[in-house]
Amino acid sequence: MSSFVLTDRERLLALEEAERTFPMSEDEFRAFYELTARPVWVYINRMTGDGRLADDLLQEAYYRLLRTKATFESDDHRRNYLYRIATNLVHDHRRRPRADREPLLDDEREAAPDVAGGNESRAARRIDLARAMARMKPRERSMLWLAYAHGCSHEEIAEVLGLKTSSLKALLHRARRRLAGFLTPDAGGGLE
Amino acid sequence: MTRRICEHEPAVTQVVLSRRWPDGCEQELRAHAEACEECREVVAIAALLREDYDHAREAIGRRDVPLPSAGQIWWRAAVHARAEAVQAAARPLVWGYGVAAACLIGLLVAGIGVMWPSVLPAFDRVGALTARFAPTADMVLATLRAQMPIVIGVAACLIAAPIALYYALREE
Repeated sequence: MSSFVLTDRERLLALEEAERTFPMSEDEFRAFYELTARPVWVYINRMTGDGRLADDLLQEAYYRLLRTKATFESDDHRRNYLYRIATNLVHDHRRRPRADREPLLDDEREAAPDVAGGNESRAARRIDLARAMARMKPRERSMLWLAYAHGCSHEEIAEVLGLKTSSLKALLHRARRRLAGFLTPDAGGGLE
Repeated sequence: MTRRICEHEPAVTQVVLSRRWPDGCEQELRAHAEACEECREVVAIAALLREDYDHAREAIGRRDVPLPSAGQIWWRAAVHARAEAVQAAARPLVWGYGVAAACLIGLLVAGIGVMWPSVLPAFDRVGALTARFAPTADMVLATLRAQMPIVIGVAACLIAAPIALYYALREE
């Protein structure tokens, strides 16, 4: 979000306007945010490999959700829409010039506490996974993460990624095959 | 070799993600998953990704910068929306200024055009005076007189361009 200069009065007006124009009340938003912020942040983080970028895109995703004119039948529908926004933001970011981006493998940093605690094999597995995921196409990464980390149904994934449910099964199957290929011991990965 | 997509995949995925694999899983599904190559792969991938997901969620708490609160997000979104609304409201005003400036320049040029015949004799007087002392200046004055509308246009652009540039850059 870009920065703007508003007077104190305008800021107060902004809050009043938000209650009127946003598609949910502040209390509803708080409840929804508590439920979804962490999973969405993890999703963005795993898609970009950059915690700080995930912070920015998370805020932007919620901002866009609050400004949308779309109506939602349920919280699940709203959540899927939020993931769709997040996915588009990640893809938009990937289309920017390379100098603007950071590598997808900052997972190694996160693995450090486990190594210190004696869980080297877990840490190694996660690093292998991060490396294998980094070799996947962005859409495949999203698909796999939503299916096997979040447990989203095929219909939900299709809705988030803007695909047909009928073609999703095959695409997901192919993506899983590729990931398994990158993770097999022969490929230097950790899939047993 | 192509493999078929197993219809038990969603059920197997749910069992792994709900941490019921392998002991909490129904015997029939477990027997199938252990025998089916597809489902074995699903178990392995889902377990890995879920472990990574859990680890990442826990890691959020260990970060130096916590996630922004719902209140912060709401506040920023409200302020941002207001600022956008203010900008959108100001946009026609900026266009209005532009049109007014263009009208002013047009009026100025038209005014000069109307007054031009009365200015010509003054040019002739100055021309006659300078012809005696500096023939080159006389030539310049003659050219200016002949091409006056173009000269006025160029002068107006030279004045208007920096002003327009200033407003354009200030907006950015």
